[in-house]
Amino acid sequence: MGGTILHVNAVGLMAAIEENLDRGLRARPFVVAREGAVRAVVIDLSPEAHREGVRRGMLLSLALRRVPGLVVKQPRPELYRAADETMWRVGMSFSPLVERAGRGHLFIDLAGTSRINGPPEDATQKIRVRIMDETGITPSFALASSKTVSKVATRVFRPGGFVALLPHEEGSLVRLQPVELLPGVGPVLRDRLSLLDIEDIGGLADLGGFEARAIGPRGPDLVARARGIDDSPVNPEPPERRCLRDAIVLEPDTAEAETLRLQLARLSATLGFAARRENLGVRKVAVSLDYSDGRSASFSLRLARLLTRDDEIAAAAWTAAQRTMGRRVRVRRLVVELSEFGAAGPELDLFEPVVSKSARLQSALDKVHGKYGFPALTPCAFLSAGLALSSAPGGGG
Amino acid sequence: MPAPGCDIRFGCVGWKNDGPRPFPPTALGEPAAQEGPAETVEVPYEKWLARGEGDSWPESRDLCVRLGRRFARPAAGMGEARAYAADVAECHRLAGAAAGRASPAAYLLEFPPAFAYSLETRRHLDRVLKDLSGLPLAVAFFDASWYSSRVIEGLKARGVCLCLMDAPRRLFSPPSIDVVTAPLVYVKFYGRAGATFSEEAEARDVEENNTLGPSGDYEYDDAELMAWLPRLEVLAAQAETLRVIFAARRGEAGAKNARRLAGMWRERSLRSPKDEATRSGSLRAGS
Repeated sequence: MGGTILHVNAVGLMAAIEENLDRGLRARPFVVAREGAVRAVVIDLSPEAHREGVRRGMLLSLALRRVPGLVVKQPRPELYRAADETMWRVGMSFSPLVERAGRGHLFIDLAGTSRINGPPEDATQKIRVRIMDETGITPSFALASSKTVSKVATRVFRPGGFVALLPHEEGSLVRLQPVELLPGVGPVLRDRLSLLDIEDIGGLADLGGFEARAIGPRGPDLVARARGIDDSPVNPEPPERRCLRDAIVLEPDTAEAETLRLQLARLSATLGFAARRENLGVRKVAVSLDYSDGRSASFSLRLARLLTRDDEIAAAAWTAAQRTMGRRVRVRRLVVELSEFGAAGPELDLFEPVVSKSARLQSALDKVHGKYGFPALTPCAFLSAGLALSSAPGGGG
Repeated sequence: MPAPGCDIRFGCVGWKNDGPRPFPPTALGEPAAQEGPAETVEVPYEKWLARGEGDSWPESRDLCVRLGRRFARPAAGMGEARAYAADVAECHRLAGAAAGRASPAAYLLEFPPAFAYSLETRRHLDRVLKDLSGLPLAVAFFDASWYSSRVIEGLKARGVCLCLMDAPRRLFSPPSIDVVTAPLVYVKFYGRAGATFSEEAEARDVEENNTLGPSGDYEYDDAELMAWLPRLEVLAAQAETLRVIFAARRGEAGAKNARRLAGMWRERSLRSPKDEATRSGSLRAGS
């Protein structure tokens, strides 16, 4: 039994659509760019243009100098949007769990759909043919047990490829690939890893905890991904509804750590309450700071387990904030964002699960907040600092 | 959109060492006369070379040549190196129109499982690909270590096809993939039975000039073959030439499988005439 997470990757969606509409472009170097615009840049390009050294974001004038006779197509956003919409619609007809991961990218969770669509491998082929018939493009498809592995696989077998990985094949296939194919590794990190003689994902996966932290703040997360550890679910929510966010403007601006910690705890309490009302826990906590001098900084912390209690979320937010605060400048505004939600059911235990004291307290607090409103109960620490709880956000941005 | 006129043909391994039977093969992979000739046939390089001048191979017959083991391993010693150079020259001669016969549609080079990714094997592959550049070449790897982005991009840059395989899936065996790295797409079915590679089996294969697959004579069931139809459809949309070959050791299973899959393909194209252009190749070939 193989994985059920399908990644659809329409690499070069714009170029593929243009080529589909004009078969004369096949096997010719061409780019999609706003010809005539001041400092026009290459928006998308054909594989042949890529082979000639043209890259996305390159100045069009430079691309034209590099490839004489390069064909330039004007972008047609409405067509690209329609193709993206069609892909999503086809995906939705096979599973309710379809996540949009950028234009031309979809994650589809085919778990539990076998009785309707057949085994995931067969369902994938049906999706593949339907997308080809309805849009004329041939994206890459990869079926694996996690989003990270399936995404790496579509980056290997492209364009128009397909791969269905069995669990025992995933690790070995991912390890072989160049490190830049791992989601989250950009050119800067790639260069840094290259200095450490890490060229393949396998080299990254072999790093220990200390070495992983030495790479950077996201090191441990990247190493886990390199090992194929990724339990993030396919999230059908549109991106704008995938996070809970709250902000506070500090009056006056302050650089005092204790005040900032209490403010973060306060924001965490309101957001945590909103998440728990929907029976959700959180895996990612992000903190952004706006300094008095107009500069900003942010840090996000991805957690190994689902957090539900206020004290856990506040602790994570404080950790993220400490990593953000690299300057001795007063802070003007604090933002906390919770994302990557999961169902916050009780953890299964072989025997009677032990309900901790803090969990019982949290449950009691939530009952009071739910009955009498959020400001009815305020922690002493907040009162002594002159803070009060505001109403919990209803969700969304 | 399907590529108009993709030339797709179904066939099987086309030789059986059943005595002094001359070229072309008749018993092996040759469907019964009333069912028409196979659309294509894969013959071993040694047999292709050894054909007598008097042997007749109809010009219309499509042919794929499976290269010998000299190509699959670095030459050990002067003698092997000379023989290898002679084989390379012969391949280029065969491919030329001057040979007076229809040139092969594809050359297949199968690397055994022992041929894992390493500096030495990479150099050997690079040399072979350079030596055979210009030929419609497909390479098949039975070790999973070759299935990396670098290798695939390298094959694309050289215009060499990565052979797509339907084979038993074990530890260290390649995953089930579709990827188009050249205008030629070569799909080979080795069966799904439990047979494994071994030196003994390989020696027997070479002796019998049969396929170097992990198994043969496996009769696919309808569901297994039908699962390939959409995959072939997408591949045909991206390729100019598509060859689908079933391995066979001794029996007729390869030919039967090829006939059944070709029939399913035609039936599918009749059911959905919008893709007529893609399947025209197969319809022409099968008629």
